[in-house]
Amino acid sequence: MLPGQAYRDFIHQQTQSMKSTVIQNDKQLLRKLKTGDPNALNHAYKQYRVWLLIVAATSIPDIDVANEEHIAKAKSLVEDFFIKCWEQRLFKDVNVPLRTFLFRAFTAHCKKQEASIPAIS
Amino acid sequence: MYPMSLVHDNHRNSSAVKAKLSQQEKEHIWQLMCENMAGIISPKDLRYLEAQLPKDEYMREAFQTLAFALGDEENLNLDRLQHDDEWKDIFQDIKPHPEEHTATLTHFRPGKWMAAAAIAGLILSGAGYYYFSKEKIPQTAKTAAPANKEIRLKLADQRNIPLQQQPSLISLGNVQLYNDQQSLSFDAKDEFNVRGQHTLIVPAAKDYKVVLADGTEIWLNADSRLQFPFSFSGSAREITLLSGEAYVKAAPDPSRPLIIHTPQSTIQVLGTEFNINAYDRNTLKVSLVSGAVKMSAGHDATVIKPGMEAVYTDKKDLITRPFDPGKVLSWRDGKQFFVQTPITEICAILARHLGITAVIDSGSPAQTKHFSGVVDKHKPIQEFMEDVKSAVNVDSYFDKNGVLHFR
Repeated sequence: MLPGQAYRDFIHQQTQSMKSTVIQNDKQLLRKLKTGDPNALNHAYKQYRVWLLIVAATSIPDIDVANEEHIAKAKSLVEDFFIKCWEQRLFKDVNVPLRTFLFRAFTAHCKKQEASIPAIS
Repeated sequence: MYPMSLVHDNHRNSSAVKAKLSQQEKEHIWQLMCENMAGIISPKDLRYLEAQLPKDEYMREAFQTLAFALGDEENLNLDRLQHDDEWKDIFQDIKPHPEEHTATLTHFRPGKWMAAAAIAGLILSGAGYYYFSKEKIPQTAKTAAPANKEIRLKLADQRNIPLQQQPSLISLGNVQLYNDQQSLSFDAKDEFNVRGQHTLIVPAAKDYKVVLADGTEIWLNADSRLQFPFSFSGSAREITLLSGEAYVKAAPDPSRPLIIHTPQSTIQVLGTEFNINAYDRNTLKVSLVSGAVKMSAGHDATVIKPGMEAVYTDKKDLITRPFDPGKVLSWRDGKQFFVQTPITEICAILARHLGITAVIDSGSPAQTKHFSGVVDKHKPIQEFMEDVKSAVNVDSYFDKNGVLHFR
């Protein structure tokens, strides 16, 4: 064995396992979401709500991120979105990566809800 | 609303010259930009994002604008939003599904959910409105010192590293940080696990220095925030002064220009020393000590010569004029000069540089007075108070809470 090979193998293993945990987590999470596991929904909500809030903050025209009220509305968009996904069982037929689904479905949800937000529109 | 027009202009240029990213790619990049801001992006996607952004000027500008809008802690406070109590507990609202569920579902159809070309316009209208609303807030309204008084480094993954207590050596994976109370330097041979843009935050009444990966030295004045990576990759060294004031001593490297973004403009440097003042969101001053600097803001661009400063305001565009180094650069020795400065504005400056809360008593003539002179961090404040009294006949005193009143 070449000098340092053990170390390189170790790093390789580490990066491989890191990679697969990241993907595995989203894949596992989606699998659990499809079965209708409420804990999986709570997990996805906690993991992705800040991200989707940022998506909302960049997708709603005329939103003012310094305005507490606007942010509260954007937050409730995120909260309602997760509840809607659950109630309408939207995860059931997802065949794209979880984040891709969340991003696309959430931007669509924002667009639909925009008209009904007086403070922002 | 110049940031928007600036970006739209760039869009026209870039679309004429380069092959554009497809709409789908842009949407994916938007998704990744938001993942990056939220600190959940995977290392692989971060590399992809970093590789894609330079290809499209429009998306790159959008990214910068977004970073400015969200980097400001007084607005969308991302740290706070990580906490559970900021959010509704949806666990309470959802009911378990009945087992024999057969209802029809609203299917998700990719491609139909969004009008073409909407994305980038949407990003910018959000961020553009942010600037617009911010312009209405007068500078003097910000007299109170910010709540967090620690000098700290906020990593791209949202971790906070406090920097002012003891001289210390901090290890972050393969990156070593050296903090000696006055300055920060680091050694990043391989930044695999701490990639991205980190933000150095200097609160009111403090100042600090950072030495970047290329040897560029940057002194930051009180209440300033600078964003930089632990190592520079690609053909340029890009950093961002999110707010405040900085004195820059750039390490020369003709093959990789140093590019400093500010909320108002972009400054391109080729080995030089200069001061950037971006305290006022509507005005940017770049004062050149030596070398040469190219500054572009709005539709204007200019090359500044030593001894001159370029001043950009969104109303008057770009002008150059000589500056007084004794006054402009004196903050590095702890001095702050005033030239016919309204006392209302001086209150804000005292909060920023000395951490003193200052107010003007109601009905005091100080409300309309202007003062020319200096306040020195290293001398008793009483000297300044006496100067104000003899120059404009305004008395001042400290109350029992340590608040300075102009009577």
